[in-house]
Amino acid sequence: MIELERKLLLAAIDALDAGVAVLDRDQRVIGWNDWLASASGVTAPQADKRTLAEIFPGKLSTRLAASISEALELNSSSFLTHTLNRNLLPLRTRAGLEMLHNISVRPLGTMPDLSCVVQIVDVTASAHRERVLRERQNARYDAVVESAPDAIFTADASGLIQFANPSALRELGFSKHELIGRPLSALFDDSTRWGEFWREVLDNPSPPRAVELVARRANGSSSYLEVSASRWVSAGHVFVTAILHDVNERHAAEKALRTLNSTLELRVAERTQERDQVWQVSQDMLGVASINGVWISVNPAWERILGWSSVDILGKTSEWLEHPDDVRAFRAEFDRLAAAEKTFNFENTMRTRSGDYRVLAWTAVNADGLLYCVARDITEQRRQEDALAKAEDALRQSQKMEAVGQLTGGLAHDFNNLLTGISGSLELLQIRIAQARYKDVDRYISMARGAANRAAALTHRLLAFSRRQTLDPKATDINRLVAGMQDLINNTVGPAIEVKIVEGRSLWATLVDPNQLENALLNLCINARDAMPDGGKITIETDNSTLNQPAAAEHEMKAGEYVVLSVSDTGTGMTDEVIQRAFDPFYTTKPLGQGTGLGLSMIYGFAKQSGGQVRISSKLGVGTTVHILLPRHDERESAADDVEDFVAAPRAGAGETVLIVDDEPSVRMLVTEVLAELGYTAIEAADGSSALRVLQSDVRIDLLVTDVGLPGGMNGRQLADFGRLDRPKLKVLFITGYAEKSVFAKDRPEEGMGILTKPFAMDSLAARIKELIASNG
Amino acid sequence: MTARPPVMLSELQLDALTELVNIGVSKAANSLRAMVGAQVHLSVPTVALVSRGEAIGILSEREIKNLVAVHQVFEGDITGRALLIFPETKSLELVRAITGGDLPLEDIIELEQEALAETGNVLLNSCLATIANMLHRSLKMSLPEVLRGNATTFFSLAPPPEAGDVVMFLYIDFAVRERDISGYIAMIMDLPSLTALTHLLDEFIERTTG
Repeated sequence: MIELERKLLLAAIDALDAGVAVLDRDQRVIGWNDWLASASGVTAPQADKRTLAEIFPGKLSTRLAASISEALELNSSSFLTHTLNRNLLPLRTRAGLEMLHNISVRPLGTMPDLSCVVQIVDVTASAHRERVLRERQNARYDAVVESAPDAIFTADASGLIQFANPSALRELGFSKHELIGRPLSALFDDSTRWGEFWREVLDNPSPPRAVELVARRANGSSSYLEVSASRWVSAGHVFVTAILHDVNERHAAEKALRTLNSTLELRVAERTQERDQVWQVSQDMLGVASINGVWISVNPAWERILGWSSVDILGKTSEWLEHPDDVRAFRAEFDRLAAAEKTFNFENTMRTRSGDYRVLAWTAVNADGLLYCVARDITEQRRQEDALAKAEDALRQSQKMEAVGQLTGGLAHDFNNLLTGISGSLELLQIRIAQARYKDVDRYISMARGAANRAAALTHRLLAFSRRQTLDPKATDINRLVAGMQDLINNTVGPAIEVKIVEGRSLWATLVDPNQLENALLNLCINARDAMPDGGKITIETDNSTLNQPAAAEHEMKAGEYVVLSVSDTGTGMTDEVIQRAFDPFYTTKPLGQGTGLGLSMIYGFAKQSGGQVRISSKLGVGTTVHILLPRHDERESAADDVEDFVAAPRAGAGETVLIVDDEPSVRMLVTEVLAELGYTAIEAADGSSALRVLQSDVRIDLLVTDVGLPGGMNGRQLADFGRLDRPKLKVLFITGYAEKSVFAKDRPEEGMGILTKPFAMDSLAARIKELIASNG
Repeated sequence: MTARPPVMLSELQLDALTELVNIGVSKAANSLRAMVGAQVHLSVPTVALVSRGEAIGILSEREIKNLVAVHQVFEGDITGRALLIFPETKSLELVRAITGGDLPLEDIIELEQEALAETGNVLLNSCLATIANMLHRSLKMSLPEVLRGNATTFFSLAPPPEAGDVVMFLYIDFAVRERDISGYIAMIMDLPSLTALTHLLDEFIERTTG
């Protein structure tokens, strides 16, 4: 080095852009350049021979003091930076600002005679520049990182956390102090997975795919995070910045979905198992068939019921085991099934392995091109139904027999009543004639005729009933009908019972069969009488009644206007049970021989048929009232049929002869009397054979009048046929109590033949005889 | 290079050296404590004398390749280089420990160079100066310089020593603000310096025991 003059050397030191202070071994200032005088505000003369502690009282950093001591004592050099040592010395820039400075302390000379030089460098400008740069960077950086919703960590190459953003602290619940310096790996549950990821990040320049990891929060809870990371290099250091994206929500949703899926599978499995269970254990035959009836699947019940295994059944239709009678119908059902998505029910019969047949009731539905079928074995049920039907038939038969017994007894009873009326009248008639008291004769005669007519009507009705013929309804005035019945009723019920008739005013007409109604009324009166063995009172009442909708519905009728005929008694009354059964056919409370049991049921049927109803109200020990309701009819009753006048009947021609054949002498006598009255000659025969003899003779016979049923092995029809062998144009009039048409081959009278039903009015007989004889037979 | 150094320290000499070093680092700890305003513990559990090649082997084996070192030259009766070595990954931690841990990462990266230099300077000064002082010798030490590289580059700094060299290898543990950082102090000396050191150590042992 060139020896500089002392003056020049000092000038050079003063001109340095750095502070220089030289201290002697006692730390006293022996050199102080201009730069330092300017920066510290202490001139060289002021600093001379003083220690730094004296020059900057209370403001000298201990670190600088120590460094100076070490330099002077240990010959060591020190470097003191503003970064680690704030305010080493109180220095200012020329502008008066705080000066940032670094200081180095170097020993001078050799031990033990040491001094040291303290050099001060102004780093304010560069520190300031760095700070501005950093702040600018930070502003951008902060905007992204500090406010990012994701947790962001920066770790050094060893994996220790150097930085964590606010979201990271929030997410994991740690304080900054707890996180910085900790290994990033400690955050994650699966350290192996993290380790792999970390190596991948460090080894690859491009960031690897994000991984999902479970992090452990400060409070011990777990958090699902999607971790992406990349490495970067700064000032020779490798760093890794990791972004932890919160996927807890997504994870929860996925978990919920997984749970749902797994439970769904479980539920489906359960359902499937349930269905399979049903399939396996069902007592009914379950099967799935294709649309053309080929069985695809059948359950074990098939084998239990039919004995055929599924191998026998599957892959073909079941035609081979269907009963031949069923095959066609069964095919037809299947064809219908193929057409529409609808449930069908049908029955067929299938052969079992053992050869017998089982009756099956099918329910099948076509769904999605497959036929789902269920068959129930109803063989036993059928067998029981058949047995039941047989039992019912047997029961009906026995009931019928019982009914016949009832009917027979009842008819005898009814006829007895009528006969009482007739014979009573005749008896009275006989007495009056014997006494020559002719005044009452007409009355008794008409009474007897009335009873006889009713008896005739009764037999007609019985016949009609047995043949289920409908009778002829007419517009009827019920008041008049009741009045006409009064004497008969009085006679029938006897003197112990008072009969009172209460006629409704302005009674409406009704459309009804009058004979049926008469019979019904008589029946009710007889029932009433029988309910009052010790006498009492019968009230027959008529009235108009208008039923509104609710009242009508209560009695199972249509709303409207009705005529009511009521018969009340003061008798024993009926229990509810009896009322319930009162309308059942053949039900009677009367002893055998006293009632048909048909009375009320016939009344009921007649009333219903006439558009009306029958109601019973009864109280035990008080009495019973039966109401017959009949619909109002607009027409008035037509004028009473003219009583056919026997006297006006046509008279016979001269010599006209009639053969009369009947096993009943009274009938023969009666007919003979009538014929004689009309001017005919009558020949009588009691049976077929004697009649045939007459026919085979050459006696004039203009007409054969014969009963159909005859004793002696030949009936009326046969008699007529034999008679016609000799007399082909013989005219024949059959009289029969059965009103049968069986006497005619074609249900129609042949030429020259007629039929008359017993009993008949004498003028009807006369008219028919006249008509036949006059015809061109 | 893998040959054993020709001069070996006796067990007694090594113990004496270890004690001297520990006195030195405890002084350094005091200096650092004053500087950072927090408790600083430094300890040197072992001292070993190895060849340069062995030293490179030990470092390469134990540490990842990227290292950081604070380098100072010392001259006097003993001449050589002193290196305070850390894995690069630990150096930021050391800076954070010293600066207090609340500084942002960017600041720490910026501060690293100066902070390391000053910290290394304090530590090496204390060690070397204390040893020299205890041995009644004076060492002149250069200002610190921060180096980055690996074991090989650190132990092959120009100019190479004229007559072979030996490495005094010290493990050092820092405990600052609940952080534990371990590093190494390596003193590379030529053989005359080592011979001088053994003599000095013997004198020291004689003084202290005699």
